[in-house]
Amino acid sequence: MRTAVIQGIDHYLPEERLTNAELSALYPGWTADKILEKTGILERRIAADTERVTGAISGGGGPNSSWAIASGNWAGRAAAAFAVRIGARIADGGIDLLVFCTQSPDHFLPTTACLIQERLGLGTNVAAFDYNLGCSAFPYGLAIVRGLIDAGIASTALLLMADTYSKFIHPLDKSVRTLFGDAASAVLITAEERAAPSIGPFVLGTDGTGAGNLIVPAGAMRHPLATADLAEKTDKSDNTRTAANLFMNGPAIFEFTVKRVPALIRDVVAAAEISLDDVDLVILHQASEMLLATLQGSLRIPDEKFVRHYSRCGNTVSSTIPIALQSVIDAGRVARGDVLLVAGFGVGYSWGANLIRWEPNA
Amino acid sequence: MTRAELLRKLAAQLDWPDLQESTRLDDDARWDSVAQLDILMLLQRDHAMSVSAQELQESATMADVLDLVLATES
Repeated sequence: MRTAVIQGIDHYLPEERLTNAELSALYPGWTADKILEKTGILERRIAADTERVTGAISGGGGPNSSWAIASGNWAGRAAAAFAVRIGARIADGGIDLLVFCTQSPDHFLPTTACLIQERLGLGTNVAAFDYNLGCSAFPYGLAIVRGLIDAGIASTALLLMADTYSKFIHPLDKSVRTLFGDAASAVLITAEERAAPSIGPFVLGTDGTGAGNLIVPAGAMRHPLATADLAEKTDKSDNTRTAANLFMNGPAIFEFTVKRVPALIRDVVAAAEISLDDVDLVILHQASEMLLATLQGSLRIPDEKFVRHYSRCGNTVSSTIPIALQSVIDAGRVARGDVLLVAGFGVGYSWGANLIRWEPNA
Repeated sequence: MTRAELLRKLAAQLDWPDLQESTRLDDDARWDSVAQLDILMLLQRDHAMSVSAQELQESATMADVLDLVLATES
């Protein structure tokens, strides 16, 4: 059967590092050790003032040129091969689908994927569009791409994700600044013949009642930015922000996650008619150590099957799962034929999970 | 779990040795979102219990927290 198969993954992290020592100097009562204990994060990578997600994905010269597929400046041992493979596909006009996820676009309009199409030099035959999700971006993106490939609408896809939440974060809001980092990631997916689908089944869900718990309140059409929105307020937890900054109700997000995610995992393995024991690796959205430790305990997943990869990059929102997946591939922890479970959850609320049978072309 | 046991456990988790049932939370800087997360994580990890984050955040005193947890447990 014709079906979508992941061929390669890579990611990019900006150069600037934000360490716990730097943060602890800003937040009275918070030591570097306490930040590490609560978050599991040693440092976050932060986009420079001039860097935007289009640069993260496509380079294009000037201050963005170091963030690039075009320049081949991607992280990880697979970077060179990935860049060559992507470059070859771009050069021969083979990419016919570009799906881009971000919550920090260059503009309200045009669609950022159109800017990336031009910067990457993709043909005008490419279907390119954005979707707006955060921590659930990866399973949703795989569902979109698989649908279009399996339906015969596309044959070679770039699934791209990039976010620069740092640009929404007030420097004195430790509730979010200690967690989030910036990153971009890319997945090459092609139509192949396989005995069964390589990606799926999927379980996707939404609960918009949680929208206010992770939000940038002002700046779009419902609440256009006004001068008053730039007034700083300090909350009871001694976090300062404006209405144009990112707000996160951490306890509410935690409650949502511990209630929703175990059921999500059970549902996706049930949909595949397997058990969690049949899964070789579980790769959840890399939210924070507190959340991941709680979920691992609830689901009773052994350490050797449970992937953690955030200590050197933080919670990179849409890119956490591809970055973690690439880390285990690069480390040789993924063998051909392995069954991987990925699950994303958060802002929206939105969640999704799916299985991946790892079987790229040789 | 008795109220006294729960209070001792929460005080240890929060590293808040003088925590009492009468402790007012709504005007204490130590009762921040991280403290609330610590309690949510402890209850989930040790008791497989999920209490309402909103009710926890609205607790005015430690007695309110104990009431919430024990009501959820039962």
